[in-house]
Amino acid sequence: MSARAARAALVVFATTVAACTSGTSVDRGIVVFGPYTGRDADLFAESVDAFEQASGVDVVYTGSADFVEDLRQRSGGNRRPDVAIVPQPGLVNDLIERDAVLPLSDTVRSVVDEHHEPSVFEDAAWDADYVVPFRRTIKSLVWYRPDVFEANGWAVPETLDELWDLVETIDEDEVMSPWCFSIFSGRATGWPATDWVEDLVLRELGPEAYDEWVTGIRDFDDDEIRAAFERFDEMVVAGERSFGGVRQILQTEVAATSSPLFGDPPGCAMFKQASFADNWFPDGVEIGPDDDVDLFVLPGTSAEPPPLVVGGDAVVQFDDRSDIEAFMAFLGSPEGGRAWAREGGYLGDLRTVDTDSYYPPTEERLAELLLDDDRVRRFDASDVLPVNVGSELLWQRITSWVGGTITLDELLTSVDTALENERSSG
Amino acid sequence: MNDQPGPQSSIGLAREWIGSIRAAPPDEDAVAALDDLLPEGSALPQYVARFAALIALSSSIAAFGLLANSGAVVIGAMLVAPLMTPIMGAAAATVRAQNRRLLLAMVIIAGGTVLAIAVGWFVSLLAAGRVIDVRALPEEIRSRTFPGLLDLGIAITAGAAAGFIQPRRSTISALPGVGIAVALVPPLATVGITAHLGLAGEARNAFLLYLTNLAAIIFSAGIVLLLSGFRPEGSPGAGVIRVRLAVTLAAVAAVAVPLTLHTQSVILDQRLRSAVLAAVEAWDDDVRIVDERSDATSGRAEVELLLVGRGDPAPVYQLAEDITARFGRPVDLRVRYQTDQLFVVSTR
Repeated sequence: MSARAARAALVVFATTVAACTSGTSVDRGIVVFGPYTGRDADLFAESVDAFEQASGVDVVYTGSADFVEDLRQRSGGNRRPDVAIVPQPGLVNDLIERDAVLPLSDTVRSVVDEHHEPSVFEDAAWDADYVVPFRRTIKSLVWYRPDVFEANGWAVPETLDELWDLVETIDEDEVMSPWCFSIFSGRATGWPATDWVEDLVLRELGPEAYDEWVTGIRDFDDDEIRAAFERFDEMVVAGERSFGGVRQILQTEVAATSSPLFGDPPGCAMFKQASFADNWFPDGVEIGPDDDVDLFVLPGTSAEPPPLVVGGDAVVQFDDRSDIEAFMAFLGSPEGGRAWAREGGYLGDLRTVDTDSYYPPTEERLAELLLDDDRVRRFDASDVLPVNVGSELLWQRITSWVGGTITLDELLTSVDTALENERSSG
Repeated sequence: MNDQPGPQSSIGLAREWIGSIRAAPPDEDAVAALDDLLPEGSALPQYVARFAALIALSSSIAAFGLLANSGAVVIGAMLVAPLMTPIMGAAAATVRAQNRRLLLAMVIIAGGTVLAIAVGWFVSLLAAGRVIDVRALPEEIRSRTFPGLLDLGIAITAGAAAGFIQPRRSTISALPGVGIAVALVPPLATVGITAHLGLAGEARNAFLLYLTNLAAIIFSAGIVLLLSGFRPEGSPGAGVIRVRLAVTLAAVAAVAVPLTLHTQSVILDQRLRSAVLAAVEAWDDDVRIVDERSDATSGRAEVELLLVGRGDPAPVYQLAEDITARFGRPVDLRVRYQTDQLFVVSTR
C-alpha cells in the first residue's frame, strides 16, 4: 500500500470508529452470521479483533456449513443477525427483493468505492447499494505435489487436451488416481461437482455461452452444456478417475478430500479446489513450486491464460445502527481482511493494497490473477442462479446423478423446469 | 518441636495447624506396619525382584483382560498388582519426613510405572490386531481414556481408606478392596496398549488417570495418617524440622498441583457436557443422543454429536449458539443426524 493510501485508510477507519463509539450503544454487540467454520471462523474472528479493540463493540459471530438454509430461516425470525456474509449472489438478490436487508450509508459506500475494483460488482451482479465485498475466491485451481509430478515425469498441462492426456496416463499407470474429488458437505453436498462443470463450460464454450447459460438464454439441456456435464463425468467420476471411486466421492467430507494427495504413497495426483482449500491441508504443509504442494490454473483449450471461475462473499446489513455502519466500513477497508490475509486463505479485490506486503507469497500470486483485467473472469454460476435452484436443487440433483440414482436427462430437465418456474414467478 | 510462637511463614502456620490436630501417638505395632512397607538393606533386592515380577504379571493380565473386554480379568489383575505398597510407603514417608524412604518409594513407583506400560505395549503388539480408531477399542479400554470427576472421588476416598487400614493390622484384610477400587495397573496397561496403537490422545488421558489416582492416594492417605497421629520422627533441631516439614509440604504441593489442574479440567468438561445435554433437550426434546464427545481443554468447546430423531432437525446453528450461551465459550460443533425409521417385516 502506498503511504497516501495507507493514511487514507487509517483516516476512514478512525472516522468510522468514532462514529460508532458516539452512536447508539448496543449491549449484545453486533451479531454476524456467515459461512466460515473451524479455522476460517478463527481467522475471521482474528480479523475483526482490530475493530473490537478500537471501538469497544463486541462482534458475535456464528458460522454454519448449512448457511443458505439457516440464513433464510434466520432472516425472517427473531434470531435475525445484524450482518450476514453471503457467498451466493442469488441469495443476496433474494434478500434485497424481500426487503430483508438495508442499503449501505454513503460513508460505507465511499469506503468501498475507494478500495475495491468496480468490476467486483459486475462479476457477481451485486447491487452496490447493498453490498460490501469481502473475501474472494478463485475456483479454477488445481493443487498438486511437485515432487510426485517430478518423480513420475509429468509436466503441468498447458491445455485441456494436455490435461486429458495426463489424466489418461495416470489412470493407465494404476499407481494412483488422477484426482482427489468428493462432494459430501451436509445439506450443501454436491457443490464441488457444480464448480467442475462451470469451469468446463467456461473453457470449452467460452464466456458468452457461459453468460447465456447463467441468464437462462441457454438451457441446462442445451447440447453443448450437456456435453460439459458428460466431459466432467468422463474426466473425474468414471471408473477410478477419482480416489476411491463413486463411493468416496459421495462419502468423503469436502474438507477431507485432499488427504490422499498427501499420503505416502499418494492416492491421487491432483486436487481441483478453490483458493481456500489450503486451510484444509495438513498442518505444516508449505505451498510453492519447490515446496510440499503447488497449484496451477485449470488450463483452457489453448495455451492462452485460462479463464477463472471466481466466487466472493458479500456482506449485507439487516440493521443500520451506527455501530453496524462502522463495522461495515471496517470490512470494506483493507483493515477488514488484514489479519486473515496475513495468515493465508484470504483474497480481496483490493486495489489500494500493495499485494506484495498485504499477502503471503501464495495469496500474492492469486491476488495478481484476480486483479489481472486481461483475464476472463466469471462468477460461480450455481451461486448466481436463483438460490432455490443454484444452491439447493442443482446440488441435490448433481449428487444423485454422480451417485447413479438419476440419469443426466433427469438432472438437466428437472433443473430447467425449476429455473423456468423461478424466473416466471420472479 | 520448637515452643516459640510460630513465625508468620507458611511452614510455621503448618506446624501450628499440625499441632492443633495432634491425635494420640500411634502405637508400636502401627509404626511397624508402616516400617514394613519398604524393606531396607539386604532385603531390598529381593523385594524389588518380587515387585517387578508382580508388576509384569499384573500388567499382562490387565492388558489381556482389557483387550478381551473382561471386567473380571481386569479386577484379577488389580489383586495381583503390588503398586499400593510403595505408594503407601511414599504417603507414610511424606508424613513422617523420611526423605530417603520417600525417594526410594518414588524410584520404585517410577520403575513399576515404566515396566507396566512396557508390558501393556508388548501385549498389545502380540494381541491387539489392527485397531486404528478409538471407537473400535473395547469398552474396558475406552472407559480408562476419559478420566472424570468420579474417578477423582474414588481415588481420594480409596486413598483415605488405605491410610486408615495400613497402620491397623487387624483391618489389613480390607486392603485388596482399596486396590480394586482405585485401579493403578489397568490404566498403565491402557497407556501401553493405546501408545502401541498410535492413539496418543487416549494414551495421554489414561496416563492422566493413573497420575490422578497416584496423587490422590498419596494425598488423602497422608492426611489420614497425619490425623492418626503420625508425625516427623526423632527430636531434631528446629532447622532440621523446618527442612523436613518443607519437604513434606513440597511433596503435598507436588501432588496437589496436578490434582487441582486435573480437577479443573474435569469440572470444565462436566460443565460443557451438562450444557450440551441441556441445549440438545431445549433444541429438540424428541431427539436421542447416540454418541457425544465434548472437549473444553482448548480455549473453545469442541463438541461432536450423533443424534437420532424423527423428521428434519431444527437448524443446528441454534444448538451451537445455545451451547455457547450456556457454556460461555465459543464452540465448534459437528452434528451427525440420523432419522429414526422402523421397518417391520414378517415372512411365513
